[in-house]
Amino acid sequence: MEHFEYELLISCLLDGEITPQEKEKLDAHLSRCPECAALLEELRADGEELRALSPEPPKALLEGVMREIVPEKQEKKKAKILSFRYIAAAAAAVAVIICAAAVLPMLRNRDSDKSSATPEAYYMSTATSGASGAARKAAAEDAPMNMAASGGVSYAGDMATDSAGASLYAAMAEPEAAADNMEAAGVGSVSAVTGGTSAEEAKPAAASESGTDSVSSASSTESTPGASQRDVKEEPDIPDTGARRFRIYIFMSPSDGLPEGAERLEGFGGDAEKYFVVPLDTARELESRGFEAVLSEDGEDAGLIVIR
Amino acid sequence: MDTRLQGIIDRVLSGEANAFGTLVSENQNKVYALAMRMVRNEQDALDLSQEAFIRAYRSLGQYRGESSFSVWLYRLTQNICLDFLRKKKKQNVISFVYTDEDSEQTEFEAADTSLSPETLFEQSETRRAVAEGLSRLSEEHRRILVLREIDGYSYEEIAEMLSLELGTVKSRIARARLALRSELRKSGGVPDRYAADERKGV
Repeated sequence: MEHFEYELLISCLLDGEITPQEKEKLDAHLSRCPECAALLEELRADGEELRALSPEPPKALLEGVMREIVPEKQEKKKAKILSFRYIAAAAAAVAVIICAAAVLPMLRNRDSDKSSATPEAYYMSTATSGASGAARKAAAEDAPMNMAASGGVSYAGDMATDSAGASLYAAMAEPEAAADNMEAAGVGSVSAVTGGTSAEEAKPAAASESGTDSVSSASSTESTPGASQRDVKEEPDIPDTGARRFRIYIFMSPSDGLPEGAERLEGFGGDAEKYFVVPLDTARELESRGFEAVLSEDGEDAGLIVIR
Repeated sequence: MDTRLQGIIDRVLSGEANAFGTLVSENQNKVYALAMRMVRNEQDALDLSQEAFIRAYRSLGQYRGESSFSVWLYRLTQNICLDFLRKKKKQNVISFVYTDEDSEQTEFEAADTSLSPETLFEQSETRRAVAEGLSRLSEEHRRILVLREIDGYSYEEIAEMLSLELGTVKSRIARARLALRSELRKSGGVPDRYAADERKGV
């Protein structure tokens, strides 16, 4: 037997990957070869030093994981609510969809942008005021910062988000029904972003916690829940300072695999890195897996709202 | 997939989220060690490890046992760390861009396997000597030794990860061990046990 073959067996022995026959052969050799016997001990010692290089995972690892997943499974519906960080963003997303859907037929029929027919994305055009554009931008810029603070988001806010999240889907299919849901959830104020109505009344709970603040204040208008969507619909003079386009991205984590027809986007910055534009049907399927949605202005200087 | 693992996964999938804790406990050393090697920062490594497990939990239903569970986790963790590094690199440079999936793969693969004794491990002299010896090995030897000795993957798992025959894994690990040993002898900053050793390096 070549010397390396014994060295190989020594290595296998150290790893516990040796057959009984091999072990026997090695033992016989070791008993008459002090060199190899010494080598075994040296390599064993090296191995111990190497293993000591392995960093000890902090206890927080396991704790953090369990904290995150246990409530998720136990209270399926609520877990999703709690995982939404951008309450206002959710509300804004819904509001924008609704407003866009409502306003589109009346105002933007003349907009025959080719890309609005993009099949894989939920793509819309709508007209917005300059102020509201700035508002969205502000909201987008705030998003990463809000994220840091989002640990302290109130439960009331989370509840509202759930309604908004649920409405998000409803909104895609049934704008008016969704509008009703939104009012029930008390997130109607965001429609001020696009609606431009200006009843200065009760500030819904959801608006007080995060991104909505910037949305609402920047647009300097807040509608009451009751006054919101339908007013938008009937509002004939939304300032038409140029069309802004929105895409609704429903995306999932890469480990879930990329669905067919999905378009991959990267580099938005913020906490979420990957975005998959998927067909609406796929997005709905993903809902059960805990979806994340992104509302982004299309274009070079993209604003971004992330809902996680 | 062995029946024990299958049993745990079934329990998790049937709603027993606590059962997932077993999988975390058994794999956290590997996951965390990989994250540390890749991002070289304790806080980030912790965050990314958690993310990896949470993502594993959410996509557990898609794990079909084609690869061993720890290899599946390894790849998932690696992807998460790659994304993190990619994003970090892009920070303050580009805010909105389409990127080719594979364009930066090679570069970060390299980051994965490089150990940085100075920054990563402030250890005893002996340990540092070992870490430094490790860093002087060939990429091939270092990588396999890390997977085996530091991470504790089995031969079979390593064969799968590196797409190697089992026999190749065996002999490469043995050679890597011998290479490290001779590296430690050469360096002078070696553990005492080598000082009086007259035998020729193998």
